[in-house]
Amino acid sequence: MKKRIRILSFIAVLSICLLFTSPALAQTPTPQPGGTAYQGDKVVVANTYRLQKGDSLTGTLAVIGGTATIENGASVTGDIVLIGGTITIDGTVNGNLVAVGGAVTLGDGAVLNGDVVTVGASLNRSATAKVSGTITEQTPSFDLGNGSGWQFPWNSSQNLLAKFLTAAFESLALAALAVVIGLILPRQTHQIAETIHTEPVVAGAVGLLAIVGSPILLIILIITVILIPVAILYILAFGLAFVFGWIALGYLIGQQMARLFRAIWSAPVAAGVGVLILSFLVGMINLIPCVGWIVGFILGLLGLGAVVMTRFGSMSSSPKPVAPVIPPVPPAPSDPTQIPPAS
Amino acid sequence: MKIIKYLPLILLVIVLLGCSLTVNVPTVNTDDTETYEISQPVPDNIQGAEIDIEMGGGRLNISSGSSQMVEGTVVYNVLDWKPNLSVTNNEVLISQNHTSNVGIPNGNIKNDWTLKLGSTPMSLRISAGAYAGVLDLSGVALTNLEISDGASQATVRFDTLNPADMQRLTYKTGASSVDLIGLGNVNTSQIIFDSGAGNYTLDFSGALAKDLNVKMNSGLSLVTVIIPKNTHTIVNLDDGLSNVDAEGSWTVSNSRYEASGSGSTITIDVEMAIGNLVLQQK
Repeated sequence: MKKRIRILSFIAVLSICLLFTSPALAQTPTPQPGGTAYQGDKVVVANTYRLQKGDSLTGTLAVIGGTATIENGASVTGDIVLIGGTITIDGTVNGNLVAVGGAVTLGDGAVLNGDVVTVGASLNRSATAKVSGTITEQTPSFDLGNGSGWQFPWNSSQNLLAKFLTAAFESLALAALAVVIGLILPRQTHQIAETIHTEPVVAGAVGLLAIVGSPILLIILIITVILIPVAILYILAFGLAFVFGWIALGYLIGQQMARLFRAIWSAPVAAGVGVLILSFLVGMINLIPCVGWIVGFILGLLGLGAVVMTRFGSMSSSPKPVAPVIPPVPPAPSDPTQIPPAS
Repeated sequence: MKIIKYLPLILLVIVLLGCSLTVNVPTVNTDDTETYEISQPVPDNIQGAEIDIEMGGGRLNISSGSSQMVEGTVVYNVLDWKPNLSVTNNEVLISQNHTSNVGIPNGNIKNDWTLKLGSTPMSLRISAGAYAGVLDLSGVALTNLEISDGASQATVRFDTLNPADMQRLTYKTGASSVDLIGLGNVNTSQIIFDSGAGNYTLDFSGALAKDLNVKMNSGLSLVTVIIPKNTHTIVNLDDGLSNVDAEGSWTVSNSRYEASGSGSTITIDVEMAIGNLVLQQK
């Protein structure tokens, strides 16, 4: 568990660094015998990257939706993070490797002095590749039944750094869940997202109504005693609706990002990327004292309302237009001078 | 309905709060659109001919029918992405700058690669970022094919039999939507498919001339495998958390799915973290 926390903390810190310290990303290439030494962090977004034989990189390498190759004879001194991309390593890495939803190949000459963690990613390792640390291949798991219950990124009562880490970790977990939901319920997710997009005000109002009305309804159900099981089911459904709405909102953001990149992302990709960004940013905004929570709350309302309006995405929120009833037109008389008999 | 009245105000507050956060994300700046012409003649000695394509994010379309070894255009509007063509012995490398820091496109990026390949037997290696496109490799004499991409939307087609014996087809992809059509025409005995999260279709239609072994290693995925009817096929699954939908006539034994048929055999070893595997016969 400690190990897991350590790795996740690393991901979180890296995420924060990537978002807020881009000026430090500038690299200083230094020619060296047989190759070039690059100093500083390297971010590859939707692009290709190749560290050639003899080259070295000192710093963190982050590959997001791109493809990277570390050739035999090249080295990276720093951690590598892969999100939704591919990486082929045939050289030396003095650091950890974390891959989320991507494809990792450790070739014949790969030497990795650190740990390897994959989350929903594929790992293809040559028999001669050397990994001095541990390899952890994880599929997403969600512990909804622990004592503290499920926490959204903005719902934390820790110190500032811990909040950062928690937000980053839970954003990743939500993103992984979003990928799964995008895979198995793409149509429903799209339907809810469409409702958020086209009717945000109504969705927000319905969401607020659900938030306000639910406690009243629950009290009524519990008072009857016999309907307590229904109340429990209602609470479960409410929680699912909130999470589903959040994922649909992230999916909508993912779609907009894909449009920005002039690309077409499949539902799992759009949902995963969108939820990751949405959750992390909302988690950060939540750090604003007193009012920070409002953003997550309002956005949550939008998603919740849209889920309610579309019955978990099973139907359109807008009623189908009713075809106007057109009275039958009497057949035209063959002789225009003739008047049809009155019925 | 008062809430509706105040919602725009609340949203405005949210926007203002959002605007108060400054996130410095590296971006890519565009310039005037330029066109880079490629026309590489067939080498005198075609032994070991190889084409390497290394592109960033954009569009990539490849087809056959060139009288050259490779020809085409790259239309781009990021100055830093000017392609470079280098020839070493029989190896042609067409690449874009991959050493500078790369940021998020600002929305008007143009990086369109349109290439035609000749009939020279060649090894083809493609390394791309997030791209969309169709690689129609029908009739191209490929001795080896390796494709590696990031988050992509791609279709790779083999509508006719590969005139050359292919040593191996390797496809590595990140979070993508990829369709491989006509894999029976690839004329190889080994396919390696590594993928992250995404939707993938592997269609084995075509003139399967020899036994084919496929090693599929996938993350969170929806994978559809299409097998021609009456083709002997064995699908071995690992112990992942995958759901399998087998459509057609399959004999199931533990994690082994077998479709009877004659001729060459397709053996697919699947390692999937979590997802859905659809087996279809057409």
